Amino acid sequence: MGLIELRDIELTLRGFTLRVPELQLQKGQMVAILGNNGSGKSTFLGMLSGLRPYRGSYRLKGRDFRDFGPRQINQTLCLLPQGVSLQMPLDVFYVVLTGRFPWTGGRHYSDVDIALTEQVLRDFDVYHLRDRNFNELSGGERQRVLLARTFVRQSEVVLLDEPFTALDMRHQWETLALLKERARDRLIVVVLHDLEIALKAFERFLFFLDGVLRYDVQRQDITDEILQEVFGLDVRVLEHEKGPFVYVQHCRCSPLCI
Amino acid sequence: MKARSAMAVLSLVLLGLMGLGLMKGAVPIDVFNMNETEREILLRVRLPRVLLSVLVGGALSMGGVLFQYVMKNPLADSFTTGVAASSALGAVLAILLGLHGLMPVTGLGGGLLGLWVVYRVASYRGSVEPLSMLLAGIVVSTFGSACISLIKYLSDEGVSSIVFWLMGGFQNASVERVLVFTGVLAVSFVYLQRRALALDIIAFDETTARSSGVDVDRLRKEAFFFGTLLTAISVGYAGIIGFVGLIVPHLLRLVGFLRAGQLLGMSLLGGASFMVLNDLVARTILPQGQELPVGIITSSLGGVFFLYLLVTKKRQLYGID
Repeated sequence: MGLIELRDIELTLRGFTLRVPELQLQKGQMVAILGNNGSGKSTFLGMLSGLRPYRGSYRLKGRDFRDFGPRQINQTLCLLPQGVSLQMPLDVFYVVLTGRFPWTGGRHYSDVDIALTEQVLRDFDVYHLRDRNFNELSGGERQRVLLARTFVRQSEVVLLDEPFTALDMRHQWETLALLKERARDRLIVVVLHDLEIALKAFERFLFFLDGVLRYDVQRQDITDEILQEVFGLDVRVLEHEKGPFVYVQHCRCSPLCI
Repeated sequence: MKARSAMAVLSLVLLGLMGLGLMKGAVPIDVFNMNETEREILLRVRLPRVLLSVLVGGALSMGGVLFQYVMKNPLADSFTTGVAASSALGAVLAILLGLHGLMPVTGLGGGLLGLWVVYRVASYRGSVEPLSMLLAGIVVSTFGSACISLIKYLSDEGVSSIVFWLMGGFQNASVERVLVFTGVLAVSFVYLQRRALALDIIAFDETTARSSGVDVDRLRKEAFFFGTLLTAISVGYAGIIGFVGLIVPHLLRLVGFLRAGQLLGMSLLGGASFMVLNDLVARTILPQGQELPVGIITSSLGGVFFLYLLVTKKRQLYGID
């Protein structure tokens, strides 16, 4: 039994159609979603978190997704969308604490919620920011706070939409290490654009093309042909003893082009 | 706990101010040494009046907090969202048609309608554009006031009372009004306190709020309803009193009360204290014992404060964060 099982999923949103013929995702996996802008990656994460109506069969933990209530859904999975904004002044500690909301009865946060918040603040290297106003932080700091807010939920499924974009290199890799550690007992699905990071850290790849889940492949089965079709670009992977390198040919705009 | 001790301090301040409000006025009263007339004035006139100012101050401030959450804008309150004026228009229409009993209903209806218009104009896919909200609020306010002026112009009898009532003041206080208002305010407060955690979460963008397990649409409607209810009853009993819902929550945030759980209770006490003080000033500032409508004081104070916010909150207003 997969943690997530999809069959014949179809979803139409403002003239755009997303199609996922079949997919099974298990616990203990790090799954990368790649594809060009507008290929349906974010819509797919939105659909998985119950934000978009869909047609087809979606089973979560062996049960029909439509049987879950909103609280249960958000206890089981946690989405970190792109472009999160907060329009009232709130302190970092509280912003992270609000990630525990689905576990409360809606009245107050428990001591467990507070202890977990302290822990993830340390894990994501933002403990020193805990009393600051969230909106006064830099973009990368905010992103780390939001990652902490996502993992404080302790959900079995974690869906991250471009979580690395604002991070500096050191925090990108430290966050990746944290994700790997946490993927042992949960499923982590990440939308990202950096192919090199994806190839170095992820095991399984979902490639979206024009709204369709085009390829579902393991890391070792990725070929240059797949990449070139999905990205519409002459991109190659050079396997090297120190890891894979991504090489883009025939760019019309680079001075390095020969 | 910081919030608990602040609540205690603020409660004491409120009690002190209420005591002052009872003793000062056109006729100074020494509560420990009263004759029969003074006792009558204290119990029949001054006590309901002070209590009504407490209730109106608390209701408008708490309503301000709600409007700020739903509009996601620190400049939202019953005045800037146009709710006060449209609710007043609803109430005046009931008077015009001779249906005084329907005033609460038409006041609430008018307020909700005005708020709905402002929200529809200023929002797009669940996010509210701060400047559009202010503009739409001004339009709705101006339209409401213009209609009221027209009604005043076209009808003569009983009109002077409308004029004075709408200017804002607590002359029309009575025991029944105090009791009704206390009930409404208590129910609203208890209900909203249960939704405090969710209120903080709707300050996030729509996707984040929904995927945190909050039913955003329902909570937004609840906040709209209670904010407008509190405004409508304040307007019905005490006229249009502007900016209280703006000033009090802002000061509370300034001293570090940022969460809805703290803001709701603190704004109740803070708004009440603020209003009792304003009413005290309105009753004692003129030398010969005449009164100023309290709305004049809060609106002029509030106007300056609003300008100050416009200058200091530019980043938020223009959507830069």
